[in-house]
Amino acid sequence: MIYLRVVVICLTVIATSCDRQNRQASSETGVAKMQEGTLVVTSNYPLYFFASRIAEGVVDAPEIVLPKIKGDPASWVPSAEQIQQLQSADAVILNGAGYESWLSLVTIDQRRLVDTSGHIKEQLIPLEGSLVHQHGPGGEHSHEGTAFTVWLDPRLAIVQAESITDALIRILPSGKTGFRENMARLESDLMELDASLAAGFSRLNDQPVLFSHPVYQYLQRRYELNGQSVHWEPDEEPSTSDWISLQRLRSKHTASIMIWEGKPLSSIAERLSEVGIESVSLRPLANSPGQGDYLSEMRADAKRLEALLSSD
Amino acid sequence: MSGALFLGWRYLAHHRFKSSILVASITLMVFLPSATRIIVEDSANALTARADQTPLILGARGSELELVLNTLYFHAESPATVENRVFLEAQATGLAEFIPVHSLFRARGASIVGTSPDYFDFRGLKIAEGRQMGLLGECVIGANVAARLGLAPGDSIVSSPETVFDIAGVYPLKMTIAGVLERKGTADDDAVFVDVRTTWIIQGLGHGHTDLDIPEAGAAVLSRREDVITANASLKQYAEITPDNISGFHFHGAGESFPLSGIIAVPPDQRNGTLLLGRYQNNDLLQIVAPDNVLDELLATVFAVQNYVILGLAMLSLATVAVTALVFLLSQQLRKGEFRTLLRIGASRSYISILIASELVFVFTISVLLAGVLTLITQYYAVQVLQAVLTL
Repeated sequence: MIYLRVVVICLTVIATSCDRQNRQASSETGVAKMQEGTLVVTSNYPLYFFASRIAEGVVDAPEIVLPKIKGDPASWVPSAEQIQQLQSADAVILNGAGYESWLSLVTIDQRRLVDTSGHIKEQLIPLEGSLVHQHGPGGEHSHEGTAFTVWLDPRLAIVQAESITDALIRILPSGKTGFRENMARLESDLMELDASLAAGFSRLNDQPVLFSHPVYQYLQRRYELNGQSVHWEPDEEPSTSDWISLQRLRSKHTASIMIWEGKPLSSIAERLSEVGIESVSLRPLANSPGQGDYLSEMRADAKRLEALLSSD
Repeated sequence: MSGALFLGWRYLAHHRFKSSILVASITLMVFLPSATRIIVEDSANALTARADQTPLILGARGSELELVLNTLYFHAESPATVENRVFLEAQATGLAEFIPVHSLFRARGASIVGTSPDYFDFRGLKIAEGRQMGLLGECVIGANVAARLGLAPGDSIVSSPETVFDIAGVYPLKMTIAGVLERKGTADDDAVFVDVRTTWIIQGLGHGHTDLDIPEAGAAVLSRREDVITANASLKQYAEITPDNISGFHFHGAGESFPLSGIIAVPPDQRNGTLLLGRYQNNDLLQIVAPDNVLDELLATVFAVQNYVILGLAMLSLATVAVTALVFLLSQQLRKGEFRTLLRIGASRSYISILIASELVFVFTISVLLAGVLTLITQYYAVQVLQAVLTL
């Protein structure tokens, strides 16, 4: 039987090879690589900022790109053109920790992916309370994951930046010295930010805080914050049940500060103030800020936080 | 001399039917062995060229030939599979570039080949029209598939269901054609390429459905207790992956256990290749094979058969020569009167010998020339003829 198939394959092979002019000898190694200009695509703004800082001023450094992403990059689904850009990149810098949900939907060369949290897997925080569902014969299942705003812990952000440095050196070995020097400067800046945030949060003295969204897990762990999260959007009025839930939560967790992903609507801030909760924003800056850069905006937020806590 | 040649030629021309039979017999006698050799060598070259370009194949232990043929030509009906874990573990060794191949399904007569973008670099496949596949559910098709089915980028192709009677089995997936590959004259021209995860969706290991947590899904929810939602059979599952529903697609179970029909390994040097061969040598569940070795063994059998065929043709040729000689001898008997007349009008015996020899030379020359022309035609056009025969 198998010999019959071999005969069929032989005939098919010879038949499909009719166009002799189109026969091309394959490369010696078997893997042909496209040699194009160097391009590095990043999956969110902090990574873009880190990569840009590390590549800054280095001769022939790759072009660092952050695709145009509407809304939160964590829920981004790239368009056909953006996928082509990702496929043509020499490196795609990922946050990892399940942040890039689009990765499971897109065909991309795995060799070009740089998981910046790949070296700190054991430090990732698992998410709790994933929705379990069941349909068909497959049994119950849920779509679990880990918290992904890794960069909010500046020390983990430094590890991420080091991964980016290694990736850039792999792409452009001649730029190693420049990349390393820039990395040292970036590390110093991030350590300074860490110190600034630590100084601010130290004023809390273990006082409970609220987070408007469950995205501050790494920040909470780094600065040992006594925090609880709600699920509020800064630009959406909370529903009555949200207010009731908050009231219930406060009966156990008497927080007087709520840390927001963005500046909340004044109506929300006022109503919170009435119940004794002051609002302050500490933006994760997953997407590009309108003005300034990652460090300047984070420093500004840290300063506002420190000012608020000092006035208490 | 020229008179004898003229008379010889005129004799052959006059007895056209007899001469044609003689020429045809001798032509076939010369042509058949050379044509057999050309066809066998051509197919052997084409077969080994692809194998030579593929250093190693890793797969489930079993028939080496089955593994090689399925990974190179996507022809097996139900090949043994290995878990994706094997691919991930092999990749972690860093001994080679590993390319997954999943070839279990078909779409309108073409094999659906699930793989990674590395495959296209590895085979030197270029997009002739459209673009590379980007999202799950997209595919790029070989040039022959596009020509045979009249498909172009933007069209779609539906995977064939595994079995009509298996209601809970593999459902067809409508795949959007992102691009058409340049013709390469290989098995790739006849395949539909998708991301390996798309083949897992076709296999039912991943799927997309409406979000069970939203009110619109209420009718499909059988029960809801705390964090557990159970859906009923009315839950709408998507038969096509579109930008609108793609975020609803997900996989069940550990991706590590998902199947692959083969893994192409491209070690950077011989040392790594040897290390890789040694690594799987004593594995009870896996095998790693060098396709050129496997096909060489197969071709040794094919060439042995070819030698028997040529031996048979040689015997046939001897018989043809004997019959031709007999025809000539009998012909001389019948032409006794003609030769006597020639002697009477002054022709010498040597003249008559030249006349007979010239007839023989004409017949053999024409036959050899015809056989040569047919051999050349075979060399250049046999493949087209075979293709036409195969597609009938």
